[in-house]
Amino acid sequence: MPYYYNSKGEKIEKQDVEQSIAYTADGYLLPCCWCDAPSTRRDFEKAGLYKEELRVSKNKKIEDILLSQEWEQFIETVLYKPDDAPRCCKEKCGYQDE
Amino acid sequence: MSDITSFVDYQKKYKLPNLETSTRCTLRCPQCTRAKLFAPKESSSYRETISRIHNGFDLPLEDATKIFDFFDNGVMLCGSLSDPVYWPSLRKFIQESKKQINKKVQIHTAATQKNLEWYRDIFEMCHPNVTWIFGADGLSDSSMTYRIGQNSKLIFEAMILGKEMQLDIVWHYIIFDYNLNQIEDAKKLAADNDIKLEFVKSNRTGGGVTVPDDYKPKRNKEITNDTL
Repeated sequence: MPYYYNSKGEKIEKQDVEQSIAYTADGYLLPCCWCDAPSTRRDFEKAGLYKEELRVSKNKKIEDILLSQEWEQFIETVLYKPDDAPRCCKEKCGYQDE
Repeated sequence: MSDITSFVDYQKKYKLPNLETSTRCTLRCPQCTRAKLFAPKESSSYRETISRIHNGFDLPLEDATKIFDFFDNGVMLCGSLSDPVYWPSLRKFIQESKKQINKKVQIHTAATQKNLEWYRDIFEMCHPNVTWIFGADGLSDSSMTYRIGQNSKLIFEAMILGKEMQLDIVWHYIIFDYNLNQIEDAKKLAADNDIKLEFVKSNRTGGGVTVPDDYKPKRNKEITNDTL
């Protein structure tokens, strides 16, 4: 998430916006390991990141997955419409207690 | 970061991807996803977790190599469901990683393998860019309080052996109420054996363990050095 809300509800820009990408037990890439939980799966299915053709085993190169339309749309959402991002992105990276 | 290209470029150049290597773990840590396997079988959390395990598989060596080739800095084997010591391809992967010896391989583990010989054998294969990060929350008489099922004695023996074999060994110690009084002894043990000790502030209260108020993270998780 490019920013978070502090305890006063102010929007604060973050310096390091990125977690590391995660590889899941069923062979997909997700934006980070926090996205890889049973309760969050539906959000990423909805974003298309669990499409069969995005399995690592179905691609010759990792960039073919990360530069896919689905990933591009997901990153666009996080960057420019973060209020529409998956709940776990907002919960884990969208807020900060001070 | 302004678009997908800069995101991918940043991940490739600077980040270590987090790889789930299987669905296997023998521990029963109360805050792990796997703990939901002990929920009532008709509950959604049980059904979702068991389905995730049933749909999972051992990370194919081809997938691991593909990912390792792509990321410039290497990879992190750190499951949210599994422990990398149970990955059947771990040895082959370490062997394969020697072809790109400038890249890091971080192995985050808390479960225990069968005996010290297993560790000696795999440590002998490791190159200087392999780091073993052991999760032991307390000393050998207490770390199994959170890491239920951990052979704590073996974990400490493995850490010390790894250091004796000149590997990069890191000890991650989550601070709970039950191990708060062991912090100074842990620092001494780490210093005596030249092991890098890092304290972890975590939100993992529940299931019989509590995090002291003074050691709760501001956000999701914090790792500090031994100057705590």
